[in-house]
Amino acid sequence: MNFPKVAVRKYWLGALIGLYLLSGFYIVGSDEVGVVRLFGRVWQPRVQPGLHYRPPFPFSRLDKVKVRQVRRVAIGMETADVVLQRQPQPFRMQFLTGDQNIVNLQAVVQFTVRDPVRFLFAASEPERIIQCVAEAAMAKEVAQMSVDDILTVGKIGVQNRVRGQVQRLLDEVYDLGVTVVAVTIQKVSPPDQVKDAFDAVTKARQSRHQRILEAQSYANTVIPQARGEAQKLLNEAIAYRDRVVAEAKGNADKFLALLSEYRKAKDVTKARLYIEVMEELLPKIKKVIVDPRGGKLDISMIRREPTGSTPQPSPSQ
Amino acid sequence: MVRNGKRLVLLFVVGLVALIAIWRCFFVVDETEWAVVLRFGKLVKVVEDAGLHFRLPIDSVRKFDKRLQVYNPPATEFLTGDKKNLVLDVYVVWRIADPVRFWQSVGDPVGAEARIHDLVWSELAAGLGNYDLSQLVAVRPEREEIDEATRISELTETVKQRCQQIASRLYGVELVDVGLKRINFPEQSKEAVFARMRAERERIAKRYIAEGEEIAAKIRAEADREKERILANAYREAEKIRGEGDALAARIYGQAFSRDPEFYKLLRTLEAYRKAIDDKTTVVLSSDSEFLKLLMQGRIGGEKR
Repeated sequence: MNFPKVAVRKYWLGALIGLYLLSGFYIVGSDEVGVVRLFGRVWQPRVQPGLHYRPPFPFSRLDKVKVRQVRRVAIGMETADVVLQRQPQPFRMQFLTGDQNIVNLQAVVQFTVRDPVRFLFAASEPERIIQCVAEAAMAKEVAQMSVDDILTVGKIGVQNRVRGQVQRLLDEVYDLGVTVVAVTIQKVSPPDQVKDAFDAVTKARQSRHQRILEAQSYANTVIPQARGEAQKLLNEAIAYRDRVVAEAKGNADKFLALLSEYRKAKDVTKARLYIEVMEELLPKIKKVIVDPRGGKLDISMIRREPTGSTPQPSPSQ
Repeated sequence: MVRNGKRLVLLFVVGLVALIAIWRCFFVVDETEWAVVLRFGKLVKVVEDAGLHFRLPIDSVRKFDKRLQVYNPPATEFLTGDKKNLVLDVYVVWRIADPVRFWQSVGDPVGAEARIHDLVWSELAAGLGNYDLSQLVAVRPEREEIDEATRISELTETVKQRCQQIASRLYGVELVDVGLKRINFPEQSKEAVFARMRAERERIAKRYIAEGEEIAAKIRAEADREKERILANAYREAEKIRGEGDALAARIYGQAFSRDPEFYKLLRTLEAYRKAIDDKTTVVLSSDSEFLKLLMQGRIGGEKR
């Protein structure tokens, strides 16, 4: 009767011990790294993904760290604000610029865990340290920039400098085992109380731009027009030159041709030319023929004849 | 059977006590802790290394966190050297460096933070008195260096160094970092700041508008000047070309006409008659003119007579 009882007890004991030993198996996911502490001391600092065994509790403890995960801390707002998508308190966003203006600024620091052991054991609240260090770096940077810079072109520079500073501090002073991937300014704007004044400046800047564009477009029409006109002047001049020269050549040739004819029969040609002209002209005009032997010209003769067209009020003789 | 059972119970009890005693001889120190071993309240040793350690069963062990801690209370007001109120959000990162001194002087983290607060905040108030607001907060030209020392880091570094010694000597605390998360004006002076910002913006807007007018006028004037220059050059060039044409024509005429100037004169005179004389002209002709000679004499070749 005793025999089966013992067998059952032994069976239970064996099963319990077996189960206990089996509890030492664990799985590390593909995006994780395991850290195993044996009696509180780091035993295996980087357990790669897969199935592994460790001495069961209470001899060892296991922490799994997602090393691929990009973690975020917020600057200029609370993490709760990010989650709930709610507007943070004004004083949380406000930063003081180098020219003593107040700007609202919100940024996010992204980091990954490079060294799980340092990340797990170096600080009680590593994310809070990162948040403090990053926010201090941001405050320091903004305190050295003008409000115009930070609102316009300075953003990228600030992000890079803050990232560099935070990384350097976290490595040299804290040794937190994290890599700062990026510091991103998500929103930077003037406070609501002065927003309209800033908008007015933007508008004024645009109007300046507009004015300049208008002036440039004026210049861009006036100058080509002038060039066109200049070309026209030149073309006209060239045409004139060509015409004058061609005329000269033509007239010269005509003259030379006439001359050669004239030389063949000087008197005849001379007379012919003269008479031709007279023939042409005399029919058109009024003629008064005077015999020089009479010697005198009676001007009244001319006057008496009506001209047919407008009479000359005082014919000059 | 009964005796046998009693012995078994005794054996079990003795075994259990032995097991507890052996268990009591060891203690575990985690990566995140310091351990202080005490025997009847008296310090035996400080254990820095994590792992399994030995002690006598009568010893007790106290553990202290050796990780970095952040102390970041709500922002408080400070006065700058030029008597301006500023709200500073200060954080201090610290850790227990000497667990025995820490345990003896401040006891727990809350006590430590209270002392750190007194120490750092009074140093900061004193340190800030050396700076004007315009020194702490000042626009600096674009820098190449990533972390050039600024007045702010100079201030926090000084405060840290002053406090560090006292903190480690008196409290067994190491001050790792002191930083300013935020510099801002107090709420009651923000209205004035906003008014100043607004005035500044208005001035800038006016400047932009004036600048726009100025630049535009300059561009227009330059364009006009350029236009005049182009036209003047073109005119000059055109006149030159015309002159060349005239000169060339004159030369051609000259060459041709100089063959027989008399004939040219004749032709040209006749030509001029054509142009000068029209139907409004009255001509008084002498009857012995070349044209009328024959008419008066009544026969051809009269002059030959």
